[in-house]
Amino acid sequence: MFGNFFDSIILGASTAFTPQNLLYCLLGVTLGNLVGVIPGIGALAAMSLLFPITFHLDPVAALVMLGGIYYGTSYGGSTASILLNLPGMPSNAVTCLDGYPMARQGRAGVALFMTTIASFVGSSIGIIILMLFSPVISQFALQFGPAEYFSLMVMGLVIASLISEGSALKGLAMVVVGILIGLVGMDMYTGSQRYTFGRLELMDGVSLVAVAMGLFGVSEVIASIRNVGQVKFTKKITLRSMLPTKDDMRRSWLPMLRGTGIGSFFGTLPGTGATVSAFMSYAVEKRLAKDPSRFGNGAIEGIAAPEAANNASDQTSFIPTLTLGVPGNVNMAIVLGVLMVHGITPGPTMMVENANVFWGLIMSFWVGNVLLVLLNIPLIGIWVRVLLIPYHILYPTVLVFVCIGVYTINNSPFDVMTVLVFGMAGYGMKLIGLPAAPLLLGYVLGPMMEEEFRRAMLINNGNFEIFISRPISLFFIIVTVSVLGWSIWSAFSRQKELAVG
Amino acid sequence: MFSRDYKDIIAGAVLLGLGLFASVYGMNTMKMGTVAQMGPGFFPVTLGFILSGFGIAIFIPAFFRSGELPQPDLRSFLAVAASLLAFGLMVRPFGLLPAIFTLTIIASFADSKLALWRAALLGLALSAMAVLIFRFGLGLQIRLIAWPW
Repeated sequence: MFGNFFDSIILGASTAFTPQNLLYCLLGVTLGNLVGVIPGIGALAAMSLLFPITFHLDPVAALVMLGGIYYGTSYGGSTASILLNLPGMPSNAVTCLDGYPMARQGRAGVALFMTTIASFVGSSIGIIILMLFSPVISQFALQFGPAEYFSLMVMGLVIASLISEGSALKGLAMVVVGILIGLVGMDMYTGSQRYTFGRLELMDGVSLVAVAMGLFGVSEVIASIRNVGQVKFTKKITLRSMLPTKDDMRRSWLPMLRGTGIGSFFGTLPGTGATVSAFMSYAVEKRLAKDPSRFGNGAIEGIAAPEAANNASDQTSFIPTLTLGVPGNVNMAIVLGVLMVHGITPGPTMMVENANVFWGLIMSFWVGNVLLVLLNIPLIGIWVRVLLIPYHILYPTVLVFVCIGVYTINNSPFDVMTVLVFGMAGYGMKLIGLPAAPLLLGYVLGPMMEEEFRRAMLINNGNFEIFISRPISLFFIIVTVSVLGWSIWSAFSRQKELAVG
Repeated sequence: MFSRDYKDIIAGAVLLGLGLFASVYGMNTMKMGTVAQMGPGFFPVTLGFILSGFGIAIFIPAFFRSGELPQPDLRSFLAVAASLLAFGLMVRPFGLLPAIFTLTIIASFADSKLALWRAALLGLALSAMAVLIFRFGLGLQIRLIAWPW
């Protein structure tokens, strides 16, 4: 078993350390850091932007690059949180609470340094967990049949929609909308057309990239144009100003470890992710603190814990994606998309059949995280300058890249129009408070869910009992029902509180 | 503040409409099959009904509580939408570069911070960047400039 493990690590390292993959890793993390720093462009927009390019790369290079963008954004996102009080990414929002006060006290350098260290600690432990647990989980998942997969996906989708911001009901509804959009195209069992309205372009379904870019790129641009103000800060960050005091270090290491634990748990759970982890770990630190009033006034624990948590969660979210083929969050949906484009079936067999892809990707995380530390400590000055680029230059640039990216996949103007439609829909959804993330998750999981459901029913002659008679499936159903029950109960008790108060 | 939660009324109505459309259109265009032998329509039509249920559950309670009216930023919305539309319409007949240039100009109308000549400059710069990255960097075969007639 252990000999095997070391063989795998060596295989992974020999894949990750080829000059080509090192280059794409550097490219990925640099881009990730860049879009992380800039508020209003997220990891998802950047990943879907580069998705078309990955068609021309070999699968390892493609994954290494997209992975780098994904975890790179969490490093970069804290920079804007600290300097501007404006989160670069949603998962860095909680870092504003204590990061910005630290910057105003002249301790911006220390805050930037500590968030980088915390990110690195969180990521490293997350990668170790990923390396140790993936083989175990994928072994276990070999026993999964259609019923287990269906129940697992239902659980993931329900948890995702309940935990995402806003009302649980809207989250669930958007999952259903997503599944319906995912089903557009040719039915693979019978070959008949579903919701294609006679358009040839819809036969293969609605393009994933177009949906993702519309919902998360274009709609974000529309919402940000008038809301991102001119940036003002003049302090230069010197290396000397970044050095933390002994007291800072003493206060931070335990919160970092606790944050990592929380992040790893929520990362592994399908449906939750970095944002939930960051908020949870902040709440935990505040509760554990001897003097909670320091929080919000530049407490270093308040930046160390959530930054460790969101990075740990980024790394561990690869566990369900790679071992089960069930994406842990929307970014992972893009990763799944890349795998499928290259003919690799994500899931328990991937570790055996495509061991070089699997371990190469994991070993590239080490490379990427070390690069990110270098990018964020000695080279922090670059990112500070990036924050000074005005948004009115940035957003036309983003739109141009969105359009070229989508167009070049199939040389199809229809795909550009799809982006337009989903961009407008996404902005409308923002206005009326419908969350976009559950929609995309539903879109990706929908066709898989239907397939497993139909297969399960076919095997069992249309008897629903199969979902509760098989123990693993029953376990997923019980978790789903209890989470649903808990959320209904807490919604009602909150309403009562409001009525009394 | 308004006496009704218009956001949720709109959201509920939209979801209800989508759900009904998915199930009714689905029933008319696809075979349903049985639970054991599902046809292409079974799963989507069922989901359509579930979605309509969610829509109603969001729609009705919204009449009994107060809320805010959504505040759309119409100018940004229209400018961005028009710029994408222009790109989509122009890229095939006129080629990539005119499409990029037009997109940039139209998009810059969303806020008045960029003067027209600067937007034009940005459009040229972005065109140059696109050629460098996509044509020379990735070797994609896209027509840069074309004339439709």
